[in-house]
Amino acid sequence: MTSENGKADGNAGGNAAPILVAEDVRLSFGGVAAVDGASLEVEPGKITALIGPNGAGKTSFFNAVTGFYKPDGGSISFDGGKITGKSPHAIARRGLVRTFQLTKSLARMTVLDNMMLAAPNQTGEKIFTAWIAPWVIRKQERASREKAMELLELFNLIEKKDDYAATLSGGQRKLLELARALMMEPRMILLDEPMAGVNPTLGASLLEHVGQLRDEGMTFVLVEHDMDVVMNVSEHVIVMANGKVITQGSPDEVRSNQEVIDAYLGAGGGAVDEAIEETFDGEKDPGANG
Amino acid sequence: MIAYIEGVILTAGIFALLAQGLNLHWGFTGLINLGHVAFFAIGAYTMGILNTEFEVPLLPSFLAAMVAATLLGVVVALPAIRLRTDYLAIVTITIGEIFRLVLKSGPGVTELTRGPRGIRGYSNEFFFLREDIGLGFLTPDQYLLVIVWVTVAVVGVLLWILLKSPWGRVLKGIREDEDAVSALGKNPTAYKMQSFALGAAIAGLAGVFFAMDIGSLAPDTYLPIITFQVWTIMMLGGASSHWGPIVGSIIFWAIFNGTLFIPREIISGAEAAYLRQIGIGALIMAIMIFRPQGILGNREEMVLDK
Repeated sequence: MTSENGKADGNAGGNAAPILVAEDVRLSFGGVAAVDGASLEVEPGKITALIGPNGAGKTSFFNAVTGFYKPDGGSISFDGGKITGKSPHAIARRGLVRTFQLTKSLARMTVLDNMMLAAPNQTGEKIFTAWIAPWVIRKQERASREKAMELLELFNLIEKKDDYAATLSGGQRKLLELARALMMEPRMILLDEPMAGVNPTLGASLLEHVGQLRDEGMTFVLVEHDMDVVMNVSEHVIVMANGKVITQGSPDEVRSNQEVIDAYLGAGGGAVDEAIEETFDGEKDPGANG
Repeated sequence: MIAYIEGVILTAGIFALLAQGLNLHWGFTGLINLGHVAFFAIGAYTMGILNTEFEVPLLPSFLAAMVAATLLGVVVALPAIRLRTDYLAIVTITIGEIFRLVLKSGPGVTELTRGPRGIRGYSNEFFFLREDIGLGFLTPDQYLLVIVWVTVAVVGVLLWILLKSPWGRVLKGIREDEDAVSALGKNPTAYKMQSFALGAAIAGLAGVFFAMDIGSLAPDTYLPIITFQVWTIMMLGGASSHWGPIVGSIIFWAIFNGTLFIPREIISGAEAAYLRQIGIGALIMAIMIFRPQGILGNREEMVLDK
């Protein structure tokens, strides 16, 4: 009892039971196999990056895991329970929450309403109980409003609380989506290209939040194209190509892996080394590289 | 003249109810329902058939009309609700027409609906009742008018409470982005179903009052034009505005009947009948150009991009 005090998932030892296990997941659209037998495991309390060239099947895989598409085969389990083929809202309720590549802020609702909508288990959300016991609803609303305000404060969106979500900038919408996901008190968050269309300052702030939440024990998986982000932020990198997981490991291992280089640039070639340098360094910007 | 204006206000009340139901579907949930008239018809017919064929008393037959409309709402919603936007529009407009044709000539159904000959004689009990509840000093039309407008007010308040509740917030979320709502752990299908069923029930009640007003039921009363009139009313008053359907309905019917008051020396009766169609058309265009959010609508909401 002296060596471990029950915080097994906090360390980077890699011996904790995986929180998400996907085995041989398949998803095809007509004749095109978008996800072609992808298997992977995600360790709790870590930031895992899912990378791969365009069309590798990353977003399709995300959609299969979160129930937005029904996988044609394979199995997915989260936190010990099978979630294969379950509907998106059921998966979200289990604590596996996602954000979207193109942010889905609810445009004609205020920022605060966006947040409060996400609060789970609200009596007032059921058509029959919305009428009776208004005091119960009022109490729940007060609690979720408080929580929403705290999160908005944390994410620097508090001044925007009464504005329509449509008036937010792209970066602010990404922040709102993350804050909104946190309203649900999830166990794990899947971020689909969190840095796309975000200015460097807000991007840095978003990553800071992700890092902090990870330190508090949250698990993240992010799909990302910006290699700087992937390499700086994540502890584990999974590489997909042609619908399969081709390799995984620490950022440094993946960076020098020949298969990854081939996947990004097509099989072998003379100027590959130079080109790969560019891929990994080209998108560097002073803001994100403190 | 007074009686005529009363009739217009009565019609406006019935259509305000219809528009309140449609506003729940479209204004607050984003469901395109082009078959609203079917719910209107099933309400009227359920009450009429129960009252004449089965001698069911007034109040139970009113409730049955709403229940029938709710059920039809659910039945329509089951396959249709999985569809989005334009597909839902096609399915609902079809269902509205199918329903009318079944009432008119469906084998077995016409024994109850009496096909195009229609149903009469269900409204006596309703109008006799006005003596009993102390409204004997009102004419039958005035009495119906009072009941309809009280209903409009009650439905308006109830919807207001419901839409201000967290339930209403989920509906608005669905209107904005269904996928986002399911990613937040709410089941959009269940909410869309509830919205559809509730709006249908309100339309069913409107159908009962309409049947009382016109005194007979005939399938060809329930043409798609009614659905489109309700849409016009809703857009006019302002979709997703709580009181828009009421204001929209009054203005719509004032214009629709207003041409009658143009002196016959200026235009003939036939010309007046054309003029009101032109008036409505011009009104729709004017609203779309100058106030696309409707009279009570929220301009800011309208111009915001998703």
